[in-house]
Amino acid sequence: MAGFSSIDDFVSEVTTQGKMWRQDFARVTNGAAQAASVWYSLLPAGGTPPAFLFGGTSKTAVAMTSSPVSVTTGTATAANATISTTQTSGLAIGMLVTGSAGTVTIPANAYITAISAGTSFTISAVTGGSSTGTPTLTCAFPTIWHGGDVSSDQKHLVNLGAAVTAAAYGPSWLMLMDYLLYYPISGADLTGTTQRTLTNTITLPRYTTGAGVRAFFVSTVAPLTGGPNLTEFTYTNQAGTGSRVCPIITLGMNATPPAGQIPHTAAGANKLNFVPLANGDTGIRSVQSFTFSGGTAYTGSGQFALVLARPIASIPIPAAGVASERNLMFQMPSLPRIYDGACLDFLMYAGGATTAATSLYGYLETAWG
Amino acid sequence: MPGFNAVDEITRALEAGKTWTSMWRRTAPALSQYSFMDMSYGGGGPPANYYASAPGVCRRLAAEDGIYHGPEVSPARKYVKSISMSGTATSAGVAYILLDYEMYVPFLDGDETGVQAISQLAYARHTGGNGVRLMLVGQGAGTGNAYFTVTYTNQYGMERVSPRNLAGFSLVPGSVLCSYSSSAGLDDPFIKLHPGDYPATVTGIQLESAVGGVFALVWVAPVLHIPTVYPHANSWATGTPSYNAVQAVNEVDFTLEKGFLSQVGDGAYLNFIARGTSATTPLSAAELTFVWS
Repeated sequence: MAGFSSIDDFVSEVTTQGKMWRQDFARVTNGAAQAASVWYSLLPAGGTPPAFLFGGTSKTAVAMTSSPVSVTTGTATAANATISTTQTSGLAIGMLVTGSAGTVTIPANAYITAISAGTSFTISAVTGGSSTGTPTLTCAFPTIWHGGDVSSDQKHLVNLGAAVTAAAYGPSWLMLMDYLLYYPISGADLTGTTQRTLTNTITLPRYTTGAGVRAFFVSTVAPLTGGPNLTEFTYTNQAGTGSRVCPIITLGMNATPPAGQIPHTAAGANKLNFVPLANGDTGIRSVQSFTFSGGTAYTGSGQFALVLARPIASIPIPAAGVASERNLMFQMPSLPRIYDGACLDFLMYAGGATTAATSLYGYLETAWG
Repeated sequence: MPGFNAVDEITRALEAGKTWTSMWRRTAPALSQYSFMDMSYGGGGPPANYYASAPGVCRRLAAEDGIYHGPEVSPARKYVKSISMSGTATSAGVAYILLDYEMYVPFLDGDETGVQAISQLAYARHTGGNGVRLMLVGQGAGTGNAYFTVTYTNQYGMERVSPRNLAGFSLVPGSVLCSYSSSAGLDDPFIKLHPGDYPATVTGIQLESAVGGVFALVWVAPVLHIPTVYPHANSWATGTPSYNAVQAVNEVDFTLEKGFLSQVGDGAYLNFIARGTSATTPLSAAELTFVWS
């Protein structure tokens, strides 16, 4: 039976069979100073793993996976490599992690905008290459590595630790999320004030019913001005029932939220970290539409993403320079499940105004059996 | 059957997504030593509540204006699973009580010594007033202390007049008026009724002397208590048994550490009252996780 049947079994799996992974991470929080009572996604922040900006076609779902996907067709020149994905369905891939292209050398951490199945893309910063070769890339989303796929074993989060350094800091909380799927929102889809209908060709890669899945917007490029209200949000719930509507009519969006900010969080009224669910619901399978209206429409060339993610665990960080650690077997028994392909990264609740570009570092440890 | 009958059912509920996590943060109102303050009366997240509605008319607060605890779940039952409370050093030694605010009557008159009649709404979550306490919250300062009584019908249908209660009407707005300083008779944030009584229906309040100011009568049900931890100076230099010189986090998982889960009803407006061990302006923040089945 997958999983752990006892503590003895856990010890055996971890010590005798080595089924454990420790992953350190180091992020630099987003470039703008973080405001009290506001939530931030650390995915757009730099560090290790590198920043990710939720690229793709506006309003079209992109699923996220940490399972490496090989891309083996394409052409290379001395100046660039053009890659065609071999996938015709299923998950899109979005970020180069490692790779080489025959005699072409691919720069480390070359950024690739999220791509949909069957499309092609170009790496423009090829160095030391030749005019021939077939690119071979391994791609995955740049989230915190958790040890890879272990099926038919079952993986769990066992330990979590984090600390920050900051000149100014208030007690904050980190919430570890499994990022599942997102809809890029850009151009008129962000500045418009009429209903926006989303494309759901791609579905949730994990937690496929949607149970426990939460929705939030995140800014990746700050709009120029404005601050509308989310006045309509229609989704399919965990039971597959469509046309479910957020019961709170107005959720206020912040003015010019910088990259990383969850724009519907702040002190004051009509601010919540996740889009509320209709009564009786426990999660979101997909989002059909949303409307930004009222308030002041966004202007400029801002970009958001509407993200579906599953909370995994949380940990408080009471003060700068003080490490927090969480054991999820004995201290807070829960051993949250980590599924194959999980894209783990943090949301951060700023309990006080926090210095921009603050170093955040920590680790997580998983085990499986 | 709604609710939890075993610990593993809680884990299954979490896996099924029957959970919600929300944050709470305050930098106001300021606390004075020993007095309770209604933390809904300060700005932050969730937004401030000043009981600003028609004078003398009983009203409810909306759930989404308090600490948001997720969607309505009936016939399932929702509980507080865990809380994590922290703050800066200025919140040292503060005791917090999480309340379910049932209803309130605003802008009662501190100059009125006759009976101020109250037309109470029906309880939304505490039938017969079971578990409900009453408190006075200042909305405009008066000039001193005054005794008062509350007329009510208890859960057995008996019409009662409460014992004499003392309140500090000179306290700043947001103060819980029956917990003024350490004075005798002012040691409890809640109005004393006769032993064993709950306020099934409150019909009036009467002050014995005119002290000025305005105040709200608030019906609340305590959900849980949690203190923050006093930050000591560096332990190794002073011998004080603490690990660092900064604010700690007080975390409680109610299943593991308390052996009970406190229920939160659909529609509950949640917020804290707080009492400091010294005058302080706290920066306090908390994470609350709810679970239902």
